[in-house]
Amino acid sequence: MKTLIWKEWRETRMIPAAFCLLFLAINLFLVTIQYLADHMHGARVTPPGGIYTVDSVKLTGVACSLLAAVVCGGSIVSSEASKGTMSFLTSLPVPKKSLWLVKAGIGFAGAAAALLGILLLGLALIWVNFGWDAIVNTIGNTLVLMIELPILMLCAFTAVYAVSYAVSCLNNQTFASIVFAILACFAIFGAGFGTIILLDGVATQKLSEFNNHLITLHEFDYYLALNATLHDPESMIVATSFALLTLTGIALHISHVSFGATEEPRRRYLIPLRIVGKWTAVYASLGAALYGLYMVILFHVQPALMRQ
Amino acid sequence: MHRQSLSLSHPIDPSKGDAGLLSPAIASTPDALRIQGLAKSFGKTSVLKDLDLDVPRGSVYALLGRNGAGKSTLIQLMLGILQPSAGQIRVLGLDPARDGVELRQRVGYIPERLPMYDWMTVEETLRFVSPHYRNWSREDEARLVTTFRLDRTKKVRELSRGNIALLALVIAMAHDPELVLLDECTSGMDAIARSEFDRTVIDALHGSNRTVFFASHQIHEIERLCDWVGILHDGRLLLQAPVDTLKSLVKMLRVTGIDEGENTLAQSPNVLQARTSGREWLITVQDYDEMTPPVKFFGGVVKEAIDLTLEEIFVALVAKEEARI
Repeated sequence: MKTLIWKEWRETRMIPAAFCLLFLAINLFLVTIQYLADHMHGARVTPPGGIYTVDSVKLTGVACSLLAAVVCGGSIVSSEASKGTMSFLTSLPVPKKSLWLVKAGIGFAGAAAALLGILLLGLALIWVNFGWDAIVNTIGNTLVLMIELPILMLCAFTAVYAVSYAVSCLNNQTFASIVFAILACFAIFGAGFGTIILLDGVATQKLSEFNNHLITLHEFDYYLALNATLHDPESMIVATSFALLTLTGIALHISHVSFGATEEPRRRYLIPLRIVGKWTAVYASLGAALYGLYMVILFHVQPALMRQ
Repeated sequence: MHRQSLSLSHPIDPSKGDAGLLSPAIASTPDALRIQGLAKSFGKTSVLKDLDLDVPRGSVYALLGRNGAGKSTLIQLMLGILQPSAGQIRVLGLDPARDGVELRQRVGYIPERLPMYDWMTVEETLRFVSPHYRNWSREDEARLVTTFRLDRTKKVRELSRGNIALLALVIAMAHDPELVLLDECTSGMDAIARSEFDRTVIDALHGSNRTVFFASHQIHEIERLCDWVGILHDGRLLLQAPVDTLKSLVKMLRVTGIDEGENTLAQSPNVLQARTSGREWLITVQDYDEMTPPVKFFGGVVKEAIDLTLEEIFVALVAKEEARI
């Protein structure tokens, strides 16, 4: 196991370093542009204007760390397949599960190292350029922002890594794997945000109909829970974190089953379809059961809620 | 002429005690490899079809076949890297699908493409691989590295293909395997490197009493090494036999005075190939009996029975099978 970890880390260690350097280079570039702009105007433009702001540091930080997670996850298995060394690795007397676990762990360690490096560099840049107050404002001073938001971001980061790792196990080419991982993340997160916007639209519409006496509370009852969740940051954070952890679980399941499988069509299409189908069935059943329970509580245990 | 012909279309059933000359069943020794009714498909493509194969312990078995015949697939199935679609495999008494890790402890494997980490040095490669084998011997490793004159400080990317093959051989041998699988590992080497590698393999395996399983299409190099041969064609085992037996049964007859046409001769089940050379016919037969050599053949006079190389036998058998299909 030790030598496997050593091998994986030797192959991964440059990625976090490269992304930290990339983050630093982008920020130095932006600082230079800002400096030149300030020099031309004869006065400091930032804050509040200009292109180099706290938000630009945050944005480049988030982009670089997510890209690091995609590259770490998306290349760690596919690079072995593209170089042909996967058969060497799988011919060793090591359980496939151990190989999968070491790769997943070291890839995540690489991505986490990039995240940590970028975080520290970002905070240092904000402190140097915008002062201590900007750091306090960036981190936040409420409990929600101090604990729940970082957890949500960590869940998103983990989900991006897990999706990329699954794509890596389904692909034989490193570059294609990274591109597909980026597309998959965009598609999955786009679909997630799209669904939330759609649900929010429906709930808001129903709330408006209730406020305008077009529908009764009895009819609006169905949307109460949804409306409450969508417009309460804490519930929203918990729900999103749960969805992201589910996505991580599905992605890791796909990667585990397809890891080292040499049968292309089975690996590419059947395994993901079967696993997504299985999880969908489980979640649909669970959702139906919970919704049924909710309705029972609503209309029978709490009859007071059945107001006309 | 005593007829004990090689069955082209019906491979031997090893479960039968008296399977004749083509069965490798050496009564007292358990088989290193036993395959029954094995099939493997990739989607709609059937690579191996109803394969029966037995390799006796201690033998050097050569599996011959053209490119794409299914040799590498068979080896990957034997190691548990692939799962069979149907049938049963037992390697050293173990089921590769279930006991793959234990099996790979006891098997040395040299793959065709010799994939190794090119950024590692020879020393790093050996240190990376060795902890996974419980029987890894540092003494054997040192002896083999010295014998093969491998530079431990060199990176794999700096080694020639021949030296990478030798490094793979060190990895395959240093844990004292009971079975060594060599999957066309000399492909891509020049003739001198191939010859050197073969000589090295012979030296390394000499007197070791290991079972060795070669898969190759470079037959003339294997001929000197092996004592059993199996011919795989289009996913089916055409035959398996001890090399000496095969060579004693398949001969080329030089015959004069035959009036039959080439087609008539070729359609005879015991004739693998027939061609004219002036007034003489050169006919490859698969049922030659050295004890009672034929005097007449299809009305002609047999002048001479010529020994064939394993490569010539392979070509004749595959050609006959392709003509039959």
